[in-house]
Amino acid sequence: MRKSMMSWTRRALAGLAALTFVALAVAAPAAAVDIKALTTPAGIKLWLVEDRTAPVISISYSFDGGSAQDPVGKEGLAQLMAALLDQGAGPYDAPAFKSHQEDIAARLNFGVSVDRFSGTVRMLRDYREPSIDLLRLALHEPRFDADAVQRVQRQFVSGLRRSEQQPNAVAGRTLARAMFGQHVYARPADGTIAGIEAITIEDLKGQAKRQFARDRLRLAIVGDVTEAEAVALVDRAFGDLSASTGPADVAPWTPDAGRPGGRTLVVERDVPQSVVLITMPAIKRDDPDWYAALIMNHVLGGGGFSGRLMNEVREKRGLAYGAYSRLSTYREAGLLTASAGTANERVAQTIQIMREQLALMARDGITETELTDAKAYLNGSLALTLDSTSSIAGLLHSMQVDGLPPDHLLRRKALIDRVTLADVKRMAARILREDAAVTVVVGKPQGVTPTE
Amino acid sequence: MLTRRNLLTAGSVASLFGLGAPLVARGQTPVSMPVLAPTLPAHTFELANGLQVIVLPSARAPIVTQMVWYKVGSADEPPGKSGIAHFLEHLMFKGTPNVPAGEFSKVISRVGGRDNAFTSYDYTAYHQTVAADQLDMVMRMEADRMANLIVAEKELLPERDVVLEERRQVVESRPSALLDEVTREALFGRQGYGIPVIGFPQEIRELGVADAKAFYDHHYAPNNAILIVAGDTTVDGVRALADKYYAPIARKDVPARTRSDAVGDGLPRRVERRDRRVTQPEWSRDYLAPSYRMGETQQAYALQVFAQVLGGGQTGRLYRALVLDQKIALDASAGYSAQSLGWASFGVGVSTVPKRSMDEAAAAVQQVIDQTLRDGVSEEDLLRAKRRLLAAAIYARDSLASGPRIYGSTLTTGGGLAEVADWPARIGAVTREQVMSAASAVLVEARSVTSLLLPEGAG
Repeated sequence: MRKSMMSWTRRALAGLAALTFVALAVAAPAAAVDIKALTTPAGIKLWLVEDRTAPVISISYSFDGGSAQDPVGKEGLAQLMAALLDQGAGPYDAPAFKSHQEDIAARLNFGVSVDRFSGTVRMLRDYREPSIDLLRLALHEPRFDADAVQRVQRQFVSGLRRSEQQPNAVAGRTLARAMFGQHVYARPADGTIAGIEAITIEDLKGQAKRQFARDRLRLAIVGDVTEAEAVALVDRAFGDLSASTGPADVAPWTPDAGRPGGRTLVVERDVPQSVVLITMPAIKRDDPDWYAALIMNHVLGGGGFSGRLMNEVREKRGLAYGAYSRLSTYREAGLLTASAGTANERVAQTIQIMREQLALMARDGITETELTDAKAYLNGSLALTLDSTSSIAGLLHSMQVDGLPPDHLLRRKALIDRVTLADVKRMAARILREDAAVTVVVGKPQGVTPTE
Repeated sequence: MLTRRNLLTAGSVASLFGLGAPLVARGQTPVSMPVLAPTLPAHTFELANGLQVIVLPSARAPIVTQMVWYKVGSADEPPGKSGIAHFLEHLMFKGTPNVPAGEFSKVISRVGGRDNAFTSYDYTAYHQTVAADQLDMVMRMEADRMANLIVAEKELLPERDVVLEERRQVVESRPSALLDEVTREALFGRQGYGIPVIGFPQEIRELGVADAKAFYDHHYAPNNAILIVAGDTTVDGVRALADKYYAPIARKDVPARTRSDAVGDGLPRRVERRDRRVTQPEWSRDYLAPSYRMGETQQAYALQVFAQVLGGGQTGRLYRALVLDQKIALDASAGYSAQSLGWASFGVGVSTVPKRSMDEAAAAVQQVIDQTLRDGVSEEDLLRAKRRLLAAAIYARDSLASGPRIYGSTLTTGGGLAEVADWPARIGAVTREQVMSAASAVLVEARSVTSLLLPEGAG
């Protein structure tokens, strides 16, 4: 019924849906992916995988700098700019751009997280050049026509109002404010209503100029394309951007010292089911013990139906549809979040069980069997991401964001296999600290006492 | 469509097939699309017990996907037992004499694989993606639970709570999902497609071991299923494993599937939901429409093209008129899927900008529809619509996950292999006259439900 419309809305407002969480590490049997690291005549570095399964080419790329750099009072600027790139560029107004795009079946997507502007392009091999020309126009000559700007602003404001009634969105925002305090990461990547409404066309033009510089670009291209074609396409799309527009720095983040028992925040919403998030400072992606954390998280609740949280909360007690944990990495921060959604009257019990599980792992670590199984999963599941040109391009791009070399896929298994029980136990004690945890509940929970 | 873990968009991949006509773009030199079916070539065979097997080899990565689709969904449930098809899907992970409760997914996770399942009105499907050398293991376990499921009270009770939480999460927490339930009941009646896949809460709470066991015994059989294996494998390899694990399972008599032709009583209807959680008013209208199997089935292809003309993306007529030109809507679209054993629906929807009335939006939609029905669609409209469909088919070839879903959803809704293969040509052959004729027959207000989603206290 309304499904087609809802999915349409998600696409149109893709910027709003973009999360700040990036780059779960995933990897594959190295033989499956032959990565070529190339440099174009314009000096752009790219990774290429040739794959002729279908006459399709996918590009995944990003520019450093995201909503963290939004000016105070203009929260949402980077996101709004991204959403307007395909709403008119060069000789095309918004309807003409879209018509032309559909005629050649080019698929362009733009999104912004706190740290980066990310884009994907999917194109049919036969239309690779006109598709790349559209991308070039979007990045070099976005129009920001007044009526398109107003329309997308209205759509953003509507999306933000709606998200105020969505427990997951409210929980995420509340958590970011509580965890990051005065740091820029406390601000929502999709902006605020006041910020979106304050943005002018001049702001958008300035933002596009700052955002797109060749020294901020990371890029992977995968599909039915030769090396020479790939290099030419990349220079055609990105070659004439500024060489540099300066760094997109973010201040380092130092977590609060914490307090006994941690903090608990409750946001009242009239919903039958509460969302529960328990979040702790974790580690950044460049931490030398990253794989110990990855294994720990997998055992705790990162493995779909096999995690301890899922087992205790859902399988044994039927308290929730799902209970998970995940690591999120930012340029200057890392978090671990355990989450569940449960009926209001069972929130207190669910939180208690989740906290017990966190404490248990912090004290005892994981078992030998869990370690073996987690390693097998992490080594084996990498190949599962190689199922389309866009997912392969996404993997290659995230490796670049993480600062990994092209041969990382060959070395990843050794990095995982060398993690010991003691490494995981040490990491669990380091991350799973009740005093550093922030618990956020959105709903009408019974039996939960907020600390503030 | 409900899954063990998440909600997916129903039928999204399966409706995206391709075509092969040369197309002309506005103001451009004539361009044509590659002529490609939406999947790589399929190989098929049938076991003596009636299990149909489809193999879609692809050597891109050393992985395989197994899907088993059962020709049973929520529309096949007995009266008063709403939700049993989906609940059984959950219980299929609760063990056999050979695989203890909860172990199925853990075993797969241990080798780096992923698995899940989903239920819709006309089908239930189970799937795993694993390294190619683990195909033997997942075929053994999937075949095992086709014949040997244990349904125990101890496992059933907490899982029933899980389903109730799922309902709270995906339906009761979303005003639009609650309104959808009312809309569907108004359109199809309190039966079949008019009953939610997840079920009514008061009926879910009463589902017990005997209900699950009876549904399993009646519908889960090799002759009521389709096995699809895609990825880094061969037809011979799959045949050997299918012979080993699935062939020993006995065929059963399964009930014939029926879908009521008697829909449309009491139409037109207007339903609404006022909810304090609603910040964005929405107006939509759903028309009863033929599917590939019921009603004027020859209209099914033309309606797919018409849905694109009217409401496909930002170039559709509704978006252009209401969002871009009149600026009274934030969003406007149309949607139609022909994949259904019974009746289908053709929907149009709008979300209005603040302070503009629903009546105004409804009138504007009607004006676009009236004008289109009066003046017809242009050759350019027709070509662009076909082009969108064709491109989606080519992109579907690029993903390992698409092929099994296209074949599975087609074969469980009464279609054959040829329907997938012929789809591009069928869409390509649609004429402007056929589009107009189908659109005028279906977009009739007297056969529709109009739905309003409103903030509490709105006028």
